[in-house]
Order: sequence, then C-alpha cells, then structure tokens
Amino acid sequence: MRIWRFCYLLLIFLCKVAIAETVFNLYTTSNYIADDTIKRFESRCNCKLFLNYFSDPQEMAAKLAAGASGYDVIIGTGYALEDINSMNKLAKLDLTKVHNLDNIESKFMHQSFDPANSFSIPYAYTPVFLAYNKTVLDKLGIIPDSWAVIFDEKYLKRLQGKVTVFDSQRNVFAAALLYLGKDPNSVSKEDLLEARKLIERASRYWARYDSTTYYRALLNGEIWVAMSYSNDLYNTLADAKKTKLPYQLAGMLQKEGNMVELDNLVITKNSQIKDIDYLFIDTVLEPQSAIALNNETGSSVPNKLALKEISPEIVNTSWIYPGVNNKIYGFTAYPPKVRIMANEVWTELKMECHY
Amino acid sequence: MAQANNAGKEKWVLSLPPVIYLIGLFLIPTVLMVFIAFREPGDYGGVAPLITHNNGSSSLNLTLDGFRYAFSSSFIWKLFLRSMFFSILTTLCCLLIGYPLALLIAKSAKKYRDLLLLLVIIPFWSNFLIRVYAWMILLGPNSAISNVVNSIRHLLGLEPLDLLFSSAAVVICLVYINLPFMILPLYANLEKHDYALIEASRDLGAGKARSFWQVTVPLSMPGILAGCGLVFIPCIGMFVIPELVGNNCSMMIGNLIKQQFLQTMNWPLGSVTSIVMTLLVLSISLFVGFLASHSGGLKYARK
Repeated sequence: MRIWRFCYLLLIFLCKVAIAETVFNLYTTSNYIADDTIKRFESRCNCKLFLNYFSDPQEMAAKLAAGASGYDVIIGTGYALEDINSMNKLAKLDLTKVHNLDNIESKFMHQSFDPANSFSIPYAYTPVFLAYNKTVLDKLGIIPDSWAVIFDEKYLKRLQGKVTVFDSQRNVFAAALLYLGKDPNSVSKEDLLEARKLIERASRYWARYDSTTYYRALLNGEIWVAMSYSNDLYNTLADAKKTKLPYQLAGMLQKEGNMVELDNLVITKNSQIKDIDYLFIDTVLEPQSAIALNNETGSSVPNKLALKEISPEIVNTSWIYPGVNNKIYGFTAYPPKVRIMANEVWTELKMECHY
Repeated sequence: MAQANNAGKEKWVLSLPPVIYLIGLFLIPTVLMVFIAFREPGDYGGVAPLITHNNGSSSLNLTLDGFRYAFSSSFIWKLFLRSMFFSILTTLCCLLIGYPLALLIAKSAKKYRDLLLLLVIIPFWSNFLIRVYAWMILLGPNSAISNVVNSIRHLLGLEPLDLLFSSAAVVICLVYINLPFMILPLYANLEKHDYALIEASRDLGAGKARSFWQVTVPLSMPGILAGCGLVFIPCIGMFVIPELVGNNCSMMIGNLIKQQFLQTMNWPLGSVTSIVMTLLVLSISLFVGFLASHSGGLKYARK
C-alpha cells in the first residue's frame, strides 16, 4: 500500500510542476547567450528557459518551413528570418513594448530585410573573415588581407589541403563574388555561374566545407587558413593561450570587403506567452547582458551602452568590431527561384570530388 | 466450418498490430514520398500547391523535373556508385572480421559464451554519435594511430597522410558501427551447428580446412546472408558518418537526401533520390535472395 501512496504523491507533485512552470523556448545557435543573462531572465519571468539549438540558419528555416513549432523567440541571421517571415510564421512586433530599444546603435536598425523593424530586433553580429596560422603563413610570406588567398591558385598551390571554407552557400558565394568585385548579394545568373566556376577551381585545394569544427583544426595545426566567425576565433584564441601552442593564430578582414551576419531577435506568431517574449527581449538588450555576451562568446554587440564598458582591446580589434574604413556588407534574402537555383549549384559543388 | 472462421478471425486480430504498424510507418510514408516526387518544389520548402488558379484557368502542378534532373546529372550517379562501393566494402570487412569472431564465440566453452557475447553488445550501451566522436579522436592528426601510420609512411619516403576526414575514416567507422549486426546473426546460426557433422566429415577424410569450407560455411549461409543484409542496407543510406569524418570525396547518397530536406528545401528532388535508392536496395536484396535460394548450401541448411 505504501508504494501506491508514494506513486500517488509523486503523480501530484509532477502535475504541480507541470502546471506551475511556464516554459520559454529559445531557438538559437549554441553558445549565443550568457549564463548570467539566462538566470536573470528566469528570476524575472518566473519561468524556465529551454535552449534549442540549430547549426545553420538555412537548416532552421527549413525546419520551420516543414512545420516545426513550439519556439517562442528565435535568434537568427537576417536573410533566414526574412524567409520565415515570408512564410508568415513571425509575429508583428509592437516596438513600444521594447523599452530598451534605444540601447541599440542606430546603424544596425532598419536593415534592408526589415526596414521598419516590424518583426526583428538586432541582437549581435559576427563578421566573416579569414582566420589563419600566423607563424606558418609568415614563413610562406602570405598575408591573408585579400580573398585571393582562398581563391587564387598562386596562393592555393602553397596551401593545398590546408584551407577550409564554410559549409554555407551564402557565405562562400559572397566571398567569391567579393573577390570578383561583384555585389555579394547578386542574384544575376551570370554572376552566380562565374562565382561557381571560381569556387569549382579553388575547391580542389580546399580541405573541406566546414562551419562547425574548423577552429579546432586551426588550433591543432591541421588547417592554416579558415573562413571564420569572429566569436569562434575569439574563443579559439582564448583556448590557444591556455594550451601554449608552438605557433600563433590570428584573424584579418579582407580588403575586398567582408560579410557581417547580423543576428536578430524575432517572436514566433504562435507563441502563447508574448509578454514573456518581450521581457526576454528587454533583458537581453540590457547593457550588462550585451557585455556578458561579448566577453563570454566574443560576439560583437550593437549595444551602445555596452560598448563603453567593453575593453578597448576588443573594441579595437577590426575582425570583431569592423571600423569605418572596413567595407562590410549584410545579406539580403534570395528570391525563391534564385535560391532553388543557387542551392542546386551548391549541392553539385559540394559533392564534387577532385581526387 | 465455424471453427475455421474463428481461427481466421484470430489470425487477423493477432496480425493487426504489425499490419497497422506497417501501413502507418511504411506504406503511407512511401506513398507520400512517391507523390511528392512528382510535385514542384515550394517557395519555402515543402511543395507548391497542386492546383494553381490563374485568370480563371487552373493548371495542375505535376512535373517530371525532379526525375529529369536526377537522371541527367552525373554527380548523383557518382554518389550512388560511391555509396554502393562503401557499403560493399564495409560488408566484406564486417564479414572478414565478424565470421572468425562469431565462430570463436560459438565454439568457446558455454560459461564464457554469454560474457563474450556481452562484450560484443556493450558498445550499444553508449550513443552511436559518441562512438563516432571517439573515432575522431583516435584518427585525429596528433593521435597515436596517425603517428604510427605516418612514421611508417615517412620511412617509405611517402608524404604524411590525414587519416581523419577521408574515405578511409568513413569505412573504418562504418565497419566499427555495423560489426555487431554481422556478428549476432552469424553467432545465432553457428551456435546451432551439429558438431557431429564436422566429425563425420573428418571421419570421411576431410582436413580441417576442407570441413570448414564444405560443411561449416555452407551451413552458415543463412547467417551470412542475414548479417550481410543487416550491414549492407543501413550502410547505403548512412549520412552521419560521412558528414562527421569524411571529406567532399566521401559523401554518400544519404548526405544528398538529407541536404535536400534540411538545407536546400527541395523536397521533390529529395524524394526522387530516395525512391531511386529504395528501388536500388530492393533490387539488390531480391537479387541476393535469388542467388541464395539457388545455392545448394542454403537448401541443405533449411532441411
């Protein structure tokens, strides 16, 4: 009998937990919010924050397109969010409810994919540039100040099998188009085919398409040049300091220009807890959240109050916070037909095998 | 008469759960897949509406584009051939490693058998991804295995080799993951062999090797075929392992299918590729089944 009573009590307890706890689902890439921020938010909303991860913005968009639901707030790249918005899956924002909106630097508001900020609010950004093994490249006499290093055979012959680029159609094509002197968001078929030819020739020398493990390969010396996000390199440099490597790693922006992936906060249309969603947005827009994000993950934050508190060493690193002299570009979404075409080309490129 | 009817009903009731399972989880998804293959890709994943209304006239959106693209582009066939090659190689390696091991377990003293079998099963206790990640460490550039291989290559005057992110790494992991599926059916078969038959063949003058090849191997044919099927079929659709430890030159057909659904949002092309793969696997299974039913050993084993 005792066991039955125990089961009964357990059942009541579980029911209570299930009823009392409001759950807030955040969908984002890994390592993209500071632990302190989560704790502060949870104590304010009296709810539990669940982190759900995706590795590629297109994967996230594909999942939502296929009907995935249950997320309240998503943090993702602009062009992917534009796609999701076109699928009518995002809530229209009431900006009067976002009290900390003024903390955001104005140049990051009103992006081309959402001019009125009707569904998205800037959260953080990461430039895409070349990270490299400085010791090895100095010896080879190569300075990766141009995308030519990963596209021109002159350099690639000396870097055979030591280069990785992202497993992302948008980023690789943007780099190729920048190198060719074209608009990185070009949707013209000729431009894309020209970029494809360039990538096809260069990819014989690349080790692989990699946007998730390249920094480890950079750290252990397997890779010398890698297309990189600023936050990944920031963390890798911190690891490198701890492990006392026999070589030095570094990063550099390219003179042809760099893409900056601006990640935004959006609220999904079918979220049932909109008040909590706005509370979350307000919490992460506070300067202390932005400072923690910057210091813990190396992501660049568009928060003007936070910037004053972040160490000048970080703010003056151009691959984390590009200066006025650096050419930077944001992504705009492809029209559906172009995307299908570009993806077909990308699939063929990726499955191409040269040896 | 009434009794026979009852027996019929009982049969139906008993077979209902598996039938529902097969209809719900195999038949319906397959029919859906075939249907999607003929549709046009939607703007944001999924498929375009079946019927579009345009100025009063409505048109049906069915297309053979997916099939046309799949059959005209050579890279898809390269992927198929590579997947076949990897799967056959993996199956052979599993057989070569698994057969002696299964024989050893089956022939060992009864008290050790359970323990040995347990050792084969233990890797199943940890997640398959973790085991692949373990191989990533084992094959990494600074690992002992890499050092040994590369120092041997150095002695022979060859360039150092990256073990990780190569086709070799893919096959190694495929063999490692699939080995238990080869060993278990083989063991189940070998364990039941009547030792008297081996003794009889020895009495008739056959040597050890001859009685192995002419008695044990033919008798174990059902086990070999079951094991090969269990290894080959999951292998050909694998996408996780090439993604984790492979490079561009070791992508398999599963990677293409996964990419069509999860990244490029072209469901029709993904469905076409899946259908072609299903048909391929089916025809191979039928062919092997045909061979098996015409091989003498299997007939004998059935008796």
